[in-house]
Amino acid sequence: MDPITILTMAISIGTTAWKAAKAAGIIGDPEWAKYADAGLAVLVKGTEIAAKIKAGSTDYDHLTPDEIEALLKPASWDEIEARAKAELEG
Amino acid sequence: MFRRMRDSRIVPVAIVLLLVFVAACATTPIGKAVQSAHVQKQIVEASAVEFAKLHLQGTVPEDSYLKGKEAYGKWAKGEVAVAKTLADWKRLGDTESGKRLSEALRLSGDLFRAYVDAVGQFVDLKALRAKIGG
Repeated sequence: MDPITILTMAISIGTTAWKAAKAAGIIGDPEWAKYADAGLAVLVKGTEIAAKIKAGSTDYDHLTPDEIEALLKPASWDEIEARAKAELEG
Repeated sequence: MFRRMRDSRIVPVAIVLLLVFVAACATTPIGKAVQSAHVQKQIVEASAVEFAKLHLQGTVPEDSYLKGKEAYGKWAKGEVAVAKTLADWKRLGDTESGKRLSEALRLSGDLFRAYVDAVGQFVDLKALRAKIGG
């Protein structure tokens, strides 16, 4: 399992435990809790960005149906031959 | 000749390993399916360009070239079907669209293997991998 997946799972578990503790009144609502919330939000956002970078420039999880069809449209054989000629000439 | 034969045996294995590796990068089932199909498309198109270049240079005989071209055409039709069924699955997300997608992916896999059989023995694996970045 890669570091980003492990971090994502750890943050998910931590977030759930944090919310449960607050909901159960174990933590209450101290002043430092808002800083913890903000820190957690930054961690979650950072992990999302790292996961997107790892997946490459295309965000495959959030493509629209039209974007999927456009992304996967194969080149025609004429285009393939044109690319081949261009590469040989270039 | 020996180098080509050795590389041609490695091509399908390397491609499958690359597809499995990149499929682990997206996080949702639809994301993984789209990513796998996209990587396969990049591999096929890059290898087709190499194949056409070799033909222009006189390395690929005419009959082999026509077989490769025909295999590419069949794969391309399968890829269009995969794209359409993936888009439908994203739109609808129901069991029926999932079944159509499974069937399209199965057919696409068969067409991909047929394409690799037709073109793989001529394509320089190292150049292909450099283009894909795998």
